[in-house]
Amino acid sequence: MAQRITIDPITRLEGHGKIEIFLNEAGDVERAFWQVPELRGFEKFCEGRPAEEMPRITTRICGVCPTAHHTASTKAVDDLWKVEPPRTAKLLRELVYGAFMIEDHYIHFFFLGAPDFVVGPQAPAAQRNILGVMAKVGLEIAGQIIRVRKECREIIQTLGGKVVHPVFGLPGGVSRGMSEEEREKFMETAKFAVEFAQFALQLFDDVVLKNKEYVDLILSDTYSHRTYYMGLVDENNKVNFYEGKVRVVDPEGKEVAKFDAREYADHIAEHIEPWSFVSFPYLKDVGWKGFVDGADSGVYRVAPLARLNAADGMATPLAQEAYERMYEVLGGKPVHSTLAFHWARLIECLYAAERMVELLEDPEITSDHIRNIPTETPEEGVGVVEAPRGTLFHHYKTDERGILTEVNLIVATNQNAAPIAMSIEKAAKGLIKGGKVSDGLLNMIEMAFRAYDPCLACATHSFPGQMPLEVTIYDHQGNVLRRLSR
Amino acid sequence: MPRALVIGYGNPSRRDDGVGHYVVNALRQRLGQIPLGAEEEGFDKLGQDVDTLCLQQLIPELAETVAGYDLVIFVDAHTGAYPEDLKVARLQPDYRPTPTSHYFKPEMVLALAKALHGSEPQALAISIRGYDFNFGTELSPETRRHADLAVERILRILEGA
Repeated sequence: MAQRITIDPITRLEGHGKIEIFLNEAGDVERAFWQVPELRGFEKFCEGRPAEEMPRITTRICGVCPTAHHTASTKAVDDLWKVEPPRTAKLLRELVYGAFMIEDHYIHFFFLGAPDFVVGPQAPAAQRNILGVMAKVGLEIAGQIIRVRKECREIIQTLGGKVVHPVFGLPGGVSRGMSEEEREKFMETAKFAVEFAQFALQLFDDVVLKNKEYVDLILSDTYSHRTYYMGLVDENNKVNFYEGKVRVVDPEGKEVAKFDAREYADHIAEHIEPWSFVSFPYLKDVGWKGFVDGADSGVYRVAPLARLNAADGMATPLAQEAYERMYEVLGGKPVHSTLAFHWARLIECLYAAERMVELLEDPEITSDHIRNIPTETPEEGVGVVEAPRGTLFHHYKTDERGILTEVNLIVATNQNAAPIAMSIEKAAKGLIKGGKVSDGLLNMIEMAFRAYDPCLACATHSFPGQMPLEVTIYDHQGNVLRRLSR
Repeated sequence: MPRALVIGYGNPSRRDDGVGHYVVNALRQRLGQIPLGAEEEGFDKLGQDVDTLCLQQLIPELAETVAGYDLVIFVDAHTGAYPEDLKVARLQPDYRPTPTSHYFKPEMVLALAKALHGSEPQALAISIRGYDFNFGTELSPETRRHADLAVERILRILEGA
């Protein structure tokens, strides 16, 4: 294997994510590395600013998942000022958040995940996309996907002012209430979202689960890791995106920790590698043992499959049925198959839609009491939500005026950094043999990465949007054999 | 007169990554339109012969908007991918899968406009070299110079359309 691995600092400016695969003399994979340039400047940038601006500032981290940062930040400033929002504000926040989870999950599933299964993982790139999906299952599906996303985004826009940078959350409440007319309109959206989620799950069933080859792929060792799992749960240990306690289960599914957001630093530490700018969080109590699976390794996973594994069920009936079915088909709980993240993502869409219906049926959601004004002196606050890509923590410290002195963000994709690296390496080792590499094989390695739906901008707090991926394969002497850039 | 849409996209909180927003607002001033505010995207101001949008990210739904125009110009920063400081290129509809849902290219928007709405506007990409991507809202002097040239270029393109 090449003895030296260098990271070109210019890469930081380019904003590339890089996968580097090193082959041995036999042409098999010896090591694979996932490198992401990181600029952890965002936290420093926020120091000296008023904390109440953070719900608006942090939406600038990313243009695709700003609502996650906005909501985690809003909860952090609630905690900072020790103010409890009124019930109506919490209902509204959770409604907006549910709409966001749905539109975000669907863009990933239909535009990225589904093509691999509907069209086939080894299909040519020109077909392995949403247009290929439409060609197979009909043009109408695209219209339905766009409709559900558009209507969910309209909820965010109506209540938050804007979709991309909502100005909704305030310390102690929200900036805007909901009228009865809006409630009726949003209820139509929520009910349509329930129907569509059931359709999406049926599509998954018809296209994926009825195809033995795909089920074997999902259950294959190439795409499996026995790790710990983390997610937010309510008082009944059911999945909750907006509030609750952080629960961790071991590779057997047994609870090993359950804590308030404020205690995150007691449970999570970060490991640094010389070949990567991104850090690798792990469970403190278990310890860092390397990029390895198992109960002795502190590596844990977050995001849809991890949330379902960490919980005892879903809090809404149809989602609960879908949850039970997934574990029945995949052989029990917890499920360690990385590709099952796609299935879990769809179950979460169903839960989010059902929960939106529940919230909109609550008469208090149209109340005028949308904020409690903070009166305490700020000092320190932590907010946590389940972002589409996993557990997201915002931690702020301020002076007595509420001016930030310290900011720490533990973002979802960063928490999955070690599992993503492991998944890529394992897939590469399982799929590249004897130096033979085809475009289809490279796509199958990307599938391991894609299942996590990584947000590299959030993980690195660096360049949103422009984040192409470069895959380079080296022979045993360090010469470049193939380079693929997307 | 053909209807034109100019889309500036990127993160305006990351200095030169916000060059698209700068170009859009400079263009709006030249066209006698009020600049878009820092938080405005511009969807509520469409309906002129020349429309503009400021976006942080391109998304699939943009296909519906784009489908209603004869000419679409995308403006963004590049980080040295091209030798030119100011590159103007024709775009064709081309949908290729990307590694993450956060990376949606102009060609993909065009491909969806064609597939879903049967529309294929003339499309151009104007890529402006960025030098400073740190946190802040001001452009670097070099990028600003090229951005001002880009505005002139766009005006000539619009006149010739």
